[in-house]
Amino acid sequence: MARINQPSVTPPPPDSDYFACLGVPRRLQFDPEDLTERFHEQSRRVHPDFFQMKSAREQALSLEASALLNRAYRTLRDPIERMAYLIRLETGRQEIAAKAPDDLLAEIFELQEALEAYREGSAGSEKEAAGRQLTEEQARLRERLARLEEELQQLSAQWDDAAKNDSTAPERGALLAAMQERLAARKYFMNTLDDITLTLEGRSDAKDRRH
Amino acid sequence: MPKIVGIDLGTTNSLIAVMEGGGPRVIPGPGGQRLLPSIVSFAEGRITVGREAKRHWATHPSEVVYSVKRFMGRGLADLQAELPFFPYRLLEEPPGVVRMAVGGRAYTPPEISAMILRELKGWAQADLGEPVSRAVITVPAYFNDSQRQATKDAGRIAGLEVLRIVNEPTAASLAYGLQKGRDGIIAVYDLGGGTFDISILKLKAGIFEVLATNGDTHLGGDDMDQRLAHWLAGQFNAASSLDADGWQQLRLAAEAAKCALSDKDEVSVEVALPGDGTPRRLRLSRAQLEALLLPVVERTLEPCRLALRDAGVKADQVNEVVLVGGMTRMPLIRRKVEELFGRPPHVELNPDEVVALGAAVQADILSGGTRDLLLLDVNPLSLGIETLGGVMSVLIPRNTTIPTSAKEYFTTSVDGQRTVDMHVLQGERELVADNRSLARFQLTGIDPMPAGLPKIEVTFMIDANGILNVGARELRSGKEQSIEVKPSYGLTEGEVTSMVEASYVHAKEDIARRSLIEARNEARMVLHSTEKALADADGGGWLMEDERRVIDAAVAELRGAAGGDDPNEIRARIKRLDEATTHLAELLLSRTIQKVADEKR
Repeated sequence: MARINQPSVTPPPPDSDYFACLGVPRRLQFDPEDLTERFHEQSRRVHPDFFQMKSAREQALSLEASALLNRAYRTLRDPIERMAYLIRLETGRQEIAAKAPDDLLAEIFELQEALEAYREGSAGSEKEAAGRQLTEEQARLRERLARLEEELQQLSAQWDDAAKNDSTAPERGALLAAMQERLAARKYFMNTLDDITLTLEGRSDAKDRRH
Repeated sequence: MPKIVGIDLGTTNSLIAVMEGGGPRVIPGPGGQRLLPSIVSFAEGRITVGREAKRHWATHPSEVVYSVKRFMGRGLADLQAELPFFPYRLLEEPPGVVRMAVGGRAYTPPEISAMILRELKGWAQADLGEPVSRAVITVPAYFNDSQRQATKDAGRIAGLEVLRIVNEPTAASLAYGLQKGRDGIIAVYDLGGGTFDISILKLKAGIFEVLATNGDTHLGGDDMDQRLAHWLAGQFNAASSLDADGWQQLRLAAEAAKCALSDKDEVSVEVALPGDGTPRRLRLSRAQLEALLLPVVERTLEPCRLALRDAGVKADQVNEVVLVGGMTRMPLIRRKVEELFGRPPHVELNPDEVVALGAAVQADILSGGTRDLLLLDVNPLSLGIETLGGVMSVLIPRNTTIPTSAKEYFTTSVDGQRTVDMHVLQGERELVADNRSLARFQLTGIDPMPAGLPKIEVTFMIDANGILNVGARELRSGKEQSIEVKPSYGLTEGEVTSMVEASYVHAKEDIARRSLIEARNEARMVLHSTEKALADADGGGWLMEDERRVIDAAVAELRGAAGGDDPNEIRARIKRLDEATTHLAELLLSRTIQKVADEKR
């Protein structure tokens, strides 16, 4: 039997931000277990399963609230998505586009030529040389990517300190800009690495997200 | 409050269950049977479902529909490979909707499924002694939007409000969790008659969170039967001469042998092929069967690996493996699953019933019966829209917890443009052509404005059923935008509504037909007892000639009426015969009393 006097649920307004939705401060480093617990707790409050016997209005609200909660959890549980979302929230900027770091431009030019050579070339020494070059480049990029991830972690810690210590807007702005630049570079490295992998596997035009 | 039932609408068998006294219970049919074969027969001019339909399977193959679940939400193009195996004619009308030409009509898969649902609903109503109008129905986790929608349509046609579509492996985990409930990572391996699902879940304090799901909606026991039937045809040198009837015999023999070999090491296969004098025989060992079916079983392993990867879980982190579906009784499958996960799977739950039991638990949650358990499921396939150059742009990636939503903004490209088209897709491939088209939407009634000025916000919401709902708003005016939906597969709203209406008409026909059958049965009984009484009376010479003539006339009239189609006429004649034989009955009664009294003396 349906219990009566169930505490009536007021779902968060649909425009509320993901941090508020899960009841966590705008920080970048937190315990994933704690986040999951909050997600489960909120799910028990707003999930449509518990509103099936209620009015159409309450059902619609619960659907909205539940969808928002699920999006919030999905975004915040991933460190990179979380950071990109924070930047968007704090600066109002939209999607962060992939962008190569300035100091890499010469290298990129060579890399593009090697990719071209490998794709166009028939089997032979020229193709083999391009393949070797690509494999080396792959290793170099992976190294740079690892360094980037470390820097991003440091920036996360700095952001959390700054937030705790009520630092000034310009200080925060500088941190956000630094994060954004590295996220753009990270995206660029990931794309390029994908490109190299697909090219080496000879599947440059048969991309399949499943694999 | 009326009960909400849980239904497992399976490829091979279907079940209905209900929550009672804190536990789920499978509702049996009239003969105590718990499984309803998902078979509908149109043989001999009437519609039968289940066991009786199954009996017609071998004798009237072209009038019996089985495995209709494989057709749900699909088009003919999806089914090319297996068309030769279906003995009835399939057509596509309108495009994207398969129909089966049986019983003098072309039925859609939701209509056939509705017949199965109506039968189950009848079982539940008889058992519970109250009308049943609301249900939770399970589907394979890997069912796409069209297949889910088709299932919901079937419910509506059967007169059921489908409160929720639940994924089968998730339902199974609910039933499992209720019984064994230990927190941890669970893998549910669900291999049924026609579909395969793998789901990886995290169970924590009553919350069942699906981490990832994968599968194949066209892989199951049917495929094994087909493979074995082919092999048998080869062994019997009959492959080239077989017609649909012959294939049907081979499939039935294959299915029986496959099931028997789960317990035995060797069986004898005997098939009477049409046109053959003597039945063909051969011995089949479990080892032979396993070698033959290994490729089918191996097709299930890759989805398992992909699901583990998407869940971010290693095989050895899985705490429990739960087996669902009749096919998992096969020792080969149990071995392969154990190999993959490095631990023996749970076998103590009945793999045929666990999904229906879980559906009943979910029904109980929806009715407000329990707040302790909660399922958090995911969408199995990425959802996106077609963008320039025939590329799919993903809006909601696969394995996102549902309900979930995404927004996309559209504008016009020509001055004064009044409509904008969208093409919504489901799938994991880059190119539109490689994915499944869900529907084409048209935003209409846009106020004429210079190109690029309107800003239309479209919200794609996947609800807790895994079904897509689309809404649109023009941001400048704040006006809700109307949307016309053309589903690529399946029925439009209008078509479903007319089927719901048609089902009422059929329900009336069904009642009339039943009434006729009952009247005829009654007539047969009355005629039989009258004949017996007349024989006794003739022997004793008790009846006057006049009286005898009146009775004879009433008998002849009833015989005539029973040959006709009017139950009221039959009943009227039965009454007339009753009246004519009142005196005879009295005579018989007093004779009997006399006889008993004589014997006692």
